[in-house]
Amino acid sequence: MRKLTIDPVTRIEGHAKITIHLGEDGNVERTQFHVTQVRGFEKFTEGRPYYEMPAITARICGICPISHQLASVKACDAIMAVRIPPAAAMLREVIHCGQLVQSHALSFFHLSAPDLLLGMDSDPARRNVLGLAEKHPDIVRDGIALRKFGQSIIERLAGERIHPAGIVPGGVAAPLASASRDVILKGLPEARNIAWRTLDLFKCILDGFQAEVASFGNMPTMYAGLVSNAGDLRLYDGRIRFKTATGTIAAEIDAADYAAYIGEASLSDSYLKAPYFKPLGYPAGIYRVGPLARLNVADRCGTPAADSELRDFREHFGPVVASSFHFHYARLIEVIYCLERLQELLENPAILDRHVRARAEVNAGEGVGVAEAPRGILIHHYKVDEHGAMQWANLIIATGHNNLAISRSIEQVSKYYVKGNQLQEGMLNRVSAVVRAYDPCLSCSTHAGGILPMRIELVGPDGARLDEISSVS
Amino acid sequence: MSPDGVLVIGYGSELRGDDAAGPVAARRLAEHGFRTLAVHQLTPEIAEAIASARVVFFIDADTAVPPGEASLNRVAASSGPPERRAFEHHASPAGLLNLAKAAYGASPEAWFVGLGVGSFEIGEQLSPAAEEAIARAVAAVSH
Repeated sequence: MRKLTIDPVTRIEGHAKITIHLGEDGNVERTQFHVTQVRGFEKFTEGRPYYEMPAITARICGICPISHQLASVKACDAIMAVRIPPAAAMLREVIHCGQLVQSHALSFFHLSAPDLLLGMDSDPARRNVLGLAEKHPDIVRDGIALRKFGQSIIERLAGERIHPAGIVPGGVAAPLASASRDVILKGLPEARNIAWRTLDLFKCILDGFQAEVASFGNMPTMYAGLVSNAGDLRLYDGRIRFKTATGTIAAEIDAADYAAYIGEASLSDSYLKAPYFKPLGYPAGIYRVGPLARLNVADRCGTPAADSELRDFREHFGPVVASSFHFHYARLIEVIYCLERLQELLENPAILDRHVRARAEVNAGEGVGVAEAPRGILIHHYKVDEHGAMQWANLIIATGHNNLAISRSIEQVSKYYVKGNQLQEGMLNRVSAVVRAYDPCLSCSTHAGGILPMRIELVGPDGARLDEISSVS
Repeated sequence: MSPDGVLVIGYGSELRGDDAAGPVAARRLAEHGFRTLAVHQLTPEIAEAIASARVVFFIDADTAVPPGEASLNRVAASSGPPERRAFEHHASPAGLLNLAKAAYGASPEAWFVGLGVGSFEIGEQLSPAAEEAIARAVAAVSH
């Protein structure tokens, strides 16, 4: 048996390695997805005051610190046993929408657009955002502007765009000034124009990716995401709904009850655990989270333009969309949803209320906080002593939920594209591209960091290196 | 130098000792009237700000510079192939200049200011060497 190694996978956050085992006939026999670094926030936060957790856990990630802060403060709210003021909940959601817009823009424009617009087989030296800027400067400008819009919301409401301090247990640190609200509202029309342009562009190029749609994790799995009591898409708060591959609701639970439905399997060759739907066991309980899963589990988005796009999406691809290639499509629909939701929230006069923080001591020994990070459901679960010192923590990160699905998607793409003894860069780029479709944040999922170039080796049965493709000189 | 049309970008982790020298230098230059960005790392969207500048200074801690010193070197957009590692979640000064040129058609004059520092250990304190290097950089840019 021969072995291919993609180490590390590029244009993702964090560090991963893919091993592709080839049989004697040159066909793929099996694949492995390894996440190779660990930091262990759950352990070293033991003994810290619970109210430090939002600031500590935000350091897990420089891309989605807001998501960690939100899940963390919600766990802290539960420990304090407070119901936060309505304006605080609205402001948290506004910040969260800003976070999703900037993160989805990063994923689509900076990380995946080079594959989508320059081609999976294009020159790898230019298949990045600079190569994209040389051919499509208008698209790069749109990506930069959309990401900047999302970041500006975070900066304006939460203090800093990377590790802000404005989201606190019990609410938010400060009320919203009407001038700040007006500035954000003023930026919305241009952001919406960019979102529409980008979605239209994506629809135009989609026909050119039929093989990728067919082979990029196009498989039956369950899906999980937050929904409102009415079944609408929810990003900041909601119940966890699990749907089967055929669209039946398998469970809909309070977030605090997650442990009864989500198990975590440890894998011998990866620091990333593999969550599964407990009633079906491991690995039959494979499920996906993130933009595609959210659209699959929700009955509707709940805003007019996003709902119109969701109907169109379902008319083309069915009520439950299986191909992970469509994470890109779903991500763009969610950007439109976030921009509409921002308008709704900011035009509500109640958002300017001055009462934005509830204060309390420790009133419960345990708290669970759940939010939809850009990549999917994020769970923070804490236990504290009577003084509020952390005794135990469990963090289940979006990319972790998708671990089994990413692994299976890699195997499907590899079996479809990787053939023979002579490697072609484009075929292996597709293996990396299916990982990028999930927009994984491996720094979050194992709490590891680092981005390195990609190295792919073809190793013969005797261990000798037969071929190599590398992204480093 | 007059601050008109000048953009100062100081970058580095403010939790890793002297790695904060770049952001600190940028903030001090803001007090002199310069348009500044103090950031953790260089990211693609900074290209937009670069595109609207006449002159850009990138300021970062630099282990190749003797402690307490500050170096000043011209940076240009390259005409060769893009950096292999460029533009995932972070970028380099030359990479950003390339992006500003490709996306916005702008090629401002650009300089890299390297700060000779002492320690990158975890902490929020600057070493005397970093303070000295920052003072030299502020003087070099503002005079």
